[in-house]
Amino acid sequence: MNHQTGNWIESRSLGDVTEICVMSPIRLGRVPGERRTFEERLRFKIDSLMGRAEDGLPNVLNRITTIHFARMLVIRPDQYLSYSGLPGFPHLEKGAETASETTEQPKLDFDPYRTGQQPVQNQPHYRSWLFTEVIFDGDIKVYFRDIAERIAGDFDDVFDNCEEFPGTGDFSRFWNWIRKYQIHNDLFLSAYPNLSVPRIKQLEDFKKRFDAFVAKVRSPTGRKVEPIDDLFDAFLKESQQYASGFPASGGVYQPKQITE
Amino acid sequence: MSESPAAPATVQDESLSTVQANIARVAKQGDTRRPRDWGLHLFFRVMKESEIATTEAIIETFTKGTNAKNAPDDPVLDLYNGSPVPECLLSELDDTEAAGQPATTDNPDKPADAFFRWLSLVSGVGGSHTGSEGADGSAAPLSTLLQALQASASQSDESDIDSFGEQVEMLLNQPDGLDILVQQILALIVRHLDAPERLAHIVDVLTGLGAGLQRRPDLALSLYGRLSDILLHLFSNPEAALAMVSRLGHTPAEIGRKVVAGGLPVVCLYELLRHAAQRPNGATSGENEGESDTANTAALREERQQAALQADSDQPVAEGSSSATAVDTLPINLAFTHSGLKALQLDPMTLESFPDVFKQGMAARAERLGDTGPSAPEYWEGELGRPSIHGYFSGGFRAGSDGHPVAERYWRRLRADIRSYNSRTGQRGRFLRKMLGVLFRLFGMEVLHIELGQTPYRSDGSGRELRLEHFGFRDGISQPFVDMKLGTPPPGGGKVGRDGTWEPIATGEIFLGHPDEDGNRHIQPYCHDLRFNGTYLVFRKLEQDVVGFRDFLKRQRPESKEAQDRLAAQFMGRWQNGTPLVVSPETPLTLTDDRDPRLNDFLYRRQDPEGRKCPLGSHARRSNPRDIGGHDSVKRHRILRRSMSYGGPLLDDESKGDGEPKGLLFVAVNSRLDLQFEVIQGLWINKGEFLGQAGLGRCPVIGANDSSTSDTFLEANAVAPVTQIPRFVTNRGGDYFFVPSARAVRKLAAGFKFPPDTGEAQDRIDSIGGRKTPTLFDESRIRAIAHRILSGPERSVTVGLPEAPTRSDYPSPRTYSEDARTGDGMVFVGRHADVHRVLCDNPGPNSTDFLLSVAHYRVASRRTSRGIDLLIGTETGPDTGATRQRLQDILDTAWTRLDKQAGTYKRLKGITETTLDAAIYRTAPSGRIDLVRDLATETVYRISAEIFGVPGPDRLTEIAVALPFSKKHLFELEPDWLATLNRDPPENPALETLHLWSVIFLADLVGNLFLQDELKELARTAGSEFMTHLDDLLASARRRQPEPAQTLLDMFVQLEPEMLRKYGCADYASDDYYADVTALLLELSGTIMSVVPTAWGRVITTILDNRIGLPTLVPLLKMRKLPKEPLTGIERLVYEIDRVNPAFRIFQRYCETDMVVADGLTIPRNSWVGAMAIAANFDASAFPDPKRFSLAPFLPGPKRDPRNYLMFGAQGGQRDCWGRDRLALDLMTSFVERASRLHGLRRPAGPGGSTRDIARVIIGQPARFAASG
Repeated sequence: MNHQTGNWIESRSLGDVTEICVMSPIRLGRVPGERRTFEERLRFKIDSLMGRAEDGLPNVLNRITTIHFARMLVIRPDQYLSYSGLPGFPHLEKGAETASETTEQPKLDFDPYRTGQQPVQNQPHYRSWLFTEVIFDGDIKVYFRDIAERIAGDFDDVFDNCEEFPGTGDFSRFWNWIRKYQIHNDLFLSAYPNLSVPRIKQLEDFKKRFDAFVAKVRSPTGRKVEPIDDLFDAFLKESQQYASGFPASGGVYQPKQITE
Repeated sequence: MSESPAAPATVQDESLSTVQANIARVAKQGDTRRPRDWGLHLFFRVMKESEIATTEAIIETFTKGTNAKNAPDDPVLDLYNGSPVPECLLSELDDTEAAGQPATTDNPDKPADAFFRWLSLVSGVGGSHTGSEGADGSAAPLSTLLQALQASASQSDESDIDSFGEQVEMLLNQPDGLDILVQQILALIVRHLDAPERLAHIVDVLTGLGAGLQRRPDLALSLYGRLSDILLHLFSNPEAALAMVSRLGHTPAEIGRKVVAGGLPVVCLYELLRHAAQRPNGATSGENEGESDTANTAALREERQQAALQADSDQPVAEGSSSATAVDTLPINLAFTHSGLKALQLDPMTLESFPDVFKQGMAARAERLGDTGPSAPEYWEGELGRPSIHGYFSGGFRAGSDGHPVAERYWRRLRADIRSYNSRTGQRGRFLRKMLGVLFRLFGMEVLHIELGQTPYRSDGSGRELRLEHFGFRDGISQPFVDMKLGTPPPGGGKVGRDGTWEPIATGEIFLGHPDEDGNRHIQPYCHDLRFNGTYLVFRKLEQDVVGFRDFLKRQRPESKEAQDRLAAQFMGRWQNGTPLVVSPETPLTLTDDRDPRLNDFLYRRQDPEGRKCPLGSHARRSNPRDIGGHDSVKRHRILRRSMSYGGPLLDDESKGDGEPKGLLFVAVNSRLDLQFEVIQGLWINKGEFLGQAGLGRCPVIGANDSSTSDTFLEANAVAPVTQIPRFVTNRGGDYFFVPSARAVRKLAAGFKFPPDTGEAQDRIDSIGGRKTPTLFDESRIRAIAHRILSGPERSVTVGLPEAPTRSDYPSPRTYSEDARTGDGMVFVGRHADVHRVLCDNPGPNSTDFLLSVAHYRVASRRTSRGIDLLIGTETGPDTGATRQRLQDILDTAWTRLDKQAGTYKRLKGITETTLDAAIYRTAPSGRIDLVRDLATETVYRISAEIFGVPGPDRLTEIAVALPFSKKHLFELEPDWLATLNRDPPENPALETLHLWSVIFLADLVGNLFLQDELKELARTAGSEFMTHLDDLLASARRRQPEPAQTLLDMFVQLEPEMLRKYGCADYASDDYYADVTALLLELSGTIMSVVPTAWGRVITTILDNRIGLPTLVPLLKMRKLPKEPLTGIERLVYEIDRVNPAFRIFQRYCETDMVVADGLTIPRNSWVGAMAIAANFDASAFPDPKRFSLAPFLPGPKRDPRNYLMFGAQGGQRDCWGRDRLALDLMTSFVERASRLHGLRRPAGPGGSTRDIARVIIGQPARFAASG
């Protein structure tokens, strides 16, 4: 497949934080061996990731420790073809549509009451698109290299439902595919462009450790714990650096044990 | 709110005139000028008209046909408290019908007429709504009876009460005892109306009469019926009600004092009589509903009517001068939850147009409100937070006067009554439920929960009484004062003006339909008549840990009480008497009166910007930050508070508690719950960063603290914080309510449905947000198909599948070729006869032909079982007919032999009994149970282990560990992920693992309608673990050669020689026999472990969601002895529930040759058949009147032929379910029986109450119950 690199879009960056937005066409038709469409399978995969996140459980994306925010959304033809003037879709002008038009579904993957199995000839087939938007620390190529190396299988499971996806196995082809479908992000804001994810986690942990230290050495009644200097030195020693495991290999930030 | 401005004679601002009185301003108690100091909150459910009809039909059946000697009265009387049987269960087909199709003429969810009667009564609408006596023409005899009774009341005799009990016993044995008894009781009640203490005694005697009345349910029912008639008569005749009330005393205060002494039933009765007695003569008619004049003094009245009334009462009235003054005129308030407005069947679009936060309710917002840990909705009391609470109304009246207060012991008893009522525990609690059930049922309500608010007062030493909350602080000082043109608000209320002075906030911040602080008006809900002058009300029952609060202060400041008070003042931002720290940081001031400017006229940013006087994190400063962050911010987040304490008097300083929980019934109103109340509660109280401030932690008094080192509070000028602050205030339940204007309530009473105004609604219809990815088995698609088949001429609907591509750019390990059958279209059949025919597929006794194949079961089961056939995957015919016959023979032989040797059914019974007993014993102390897990899964596990001989492995296997992470194998997990699971290892890993294998087995075998690959892979992995485990078990049994066989597995081993003699040949040796045996064990254990819990899960969730009252219903079903019936009453219940909410909704078959199912229905070869049980179950030709839930002949209802039920497939065909009658049905009836002993069974509020499933196989249903008996 020939890609025209000249049209590739540059990601935007603010400070150390970069964004990428990819708009990829979802494959038409049914997954072989199944009664689901590719779109249904894609939504299942995304739901599964979402479910872990909602249950507070780590998932494969935790392995990419540079991700600040990620979102994926499926845009359906019945959404983007609204006001297009095509029959069967809502009109913008109030009262322009008739009742039958608003209830009629567009010709999509499943034809609810089709009795034969012959596709209607020359009928355009509107497809759904997957929007993927991620905000991460550092350089975009480093980010995708991380993906290709650390979550290849799971990443493939999701994007295999999109057209032309070559897999993460061959990085160059993967890179080309990403860039082909990358779209320009008109607005990108970051509230903390100079704070990386691990840095935020470390500051959060530091505050917790600090509170614990205060609770130990200062009482609101004025009672003081001696020797404060030794305790403070111990606090500094424990609180400034982490030798390992922050995060651990699966992306989980385990706070350091606080010495009682 | 003692500092509210004095009420003027009239409200000049007409715009707020229709607001419910007592919301914008607190109503004063007539001549006392004091606000109400106690009040009732009655949380109710609106009954359905059909529910009342059904109950009456059942009651009739039972009063006529029962054998009086053996029948317990309890269940029958419970019928008065809501129907145990839903008239119609929600069916999946309902929605379709609502959407434009010709709707059925009946409306099974129609709210009870009686409820509208009450609405009319309290809001003063229409004179035509009369009680039932109007309909049957018995009004005259009733009023005659009343007059006679009142006349006889003068012959008061103290001793009659004591002999009353004996009389009842005696009367019960007389042939005409009933009429005499009714007359006696009524005479007794009337005679003692003026002495409520004695009345309370009568109630107690009636409570104790349980024993006597139990033997005569007919008597009890007639008694209740007769009482109901009389009450209805009273309620619909203001004069009669007034006359009745007047007998109690001469002044409202005197009457109220006696009523409170009479206990909860008398209080409720009087409250309702008060509504009736206040009903104005010549009330507005239904034609100009919504209109009224200021003379309307109905119990629920308008602000302007109240103002007029208040003006009248300012004129001194001689006590007892006229009967009109005898009834206390304190207004009531009425508010609805979203589910309540839905139950009243308001216009669906208008309902939809309410703000999301109101539609979701408080429980769904718990996380952001800080209702976590012990405040989480799953621990809330009773049904608070559940959609079954449709609304609440507040009551309360003057009770006692300064000289003659109500004695504290009566209040204590009233509170105890209410606690028993709410918890449903003990004889008293159940009796009260029944008694009030009879009462409120007259108005179409079930009162689900009651709260009593009481304001503790304490003298401030200068002769004034201060209104306090239980931590000892003055409460309710700052209010946002809506502009009612009442003159200047007291300084400190309202909002801060530009120059630091105070102004009222815009009316629209509190009441809908008025300009808000930005000058905008609300448009939600989309109906002006409903919206205008309405508001949203927040109710929270906040329990205060008074002893814990004081102990914490003591631990922090052991040196002196003064230091403790100082710290408490720092927490609160005010001293106990209300003095603000900003005004006087060092010591409380002696304040002259409520308009003393030092009480509330202060600012933070201007007077104390750094928090040197009043700590930044203190309660008062953060809940109303006044001028912090610029006046623009705070004024948009104000709420009008109407809270009241509960739990009796204040505790003495040294008290360790008096056994009564204490706290605050937090009530506040605002026009935008999410922008006002929730910002204060969620952000200002529970987050440390807002309005430009940071590091404030949570509110030390009411924040969601949990004693961690991060729960800190910094006093003014302090260096070190107070740390490890515990939670002092716990939310015990609450919800969001909509308070319609008094005018809207009148329209509601007249049956108005509030359709949306044109304009706004269109945007919702046009929303493009909710477009879903359609699937083949989409619920809406299935519903539409079912509806087409059941209503139209078509007998089937065929759906084609999209093409599958044959190649992919992705170098997939998957093959892109598929089984030829996969892409074939699906023919859905739905009429009962067709579904039955497809499921039976029984061409004739001598035919081995089969038309429909279950090859998909074969493919799926082979996936799990290493390629061996399971029974479910076999069928008659050349391919698997012999295997099927052999497997069936082995199973039947072993099962019969085992029963003979070891008494299988007796052991089953024993296992079931002991497991269920243990489950109840274990869960009773907490009242928390997982109905699926604790009852069903535990039981079937023991059956699998002890009867089948298939226990689980003694550990969590790979898949059991990995599945929560959506993985199959350990190597796919990261070690640090496991650490985040943060839960204890399971108590019984063997059960967990076996259960999980089984759930996956079932989900793939019958639940994988989409043929999704993830599920297939999961089943392959689980199956491989399961099979290896079975190999181990069998190998061990073969070594042991158990004799005699205790389990099915033992028996299989024993039968080996016999079966090999029978089937042994070159192709069938010992290994093949054990392959068969392994397959059988896999299928038996795998299905019982998954099917029984999931099917029971369906049954019990249906029971919970439709308020099927098992404790009432099950004894009723058992009372009916119908020896000729093939099914018991409970079996009927299980079958009927499965009919309306089937565990298996669509069965698949594959059609290999053209099959003529019936005239006009031929299923073409090479197509899938989807047999829609969910449609067939609503086919009127098999189930007459299909939308009605029927337990006929046990209870009145349309006939149901048991052979038509499709639970686990059709009965009698060649694919009849092996386990249904042998195991599953018995188990489910045992579960039903056991669950029927749990009183007050319900889902917990919030997300903690939802059903848990894996791939749509139900694995858990958390529930709570009040008591087990």
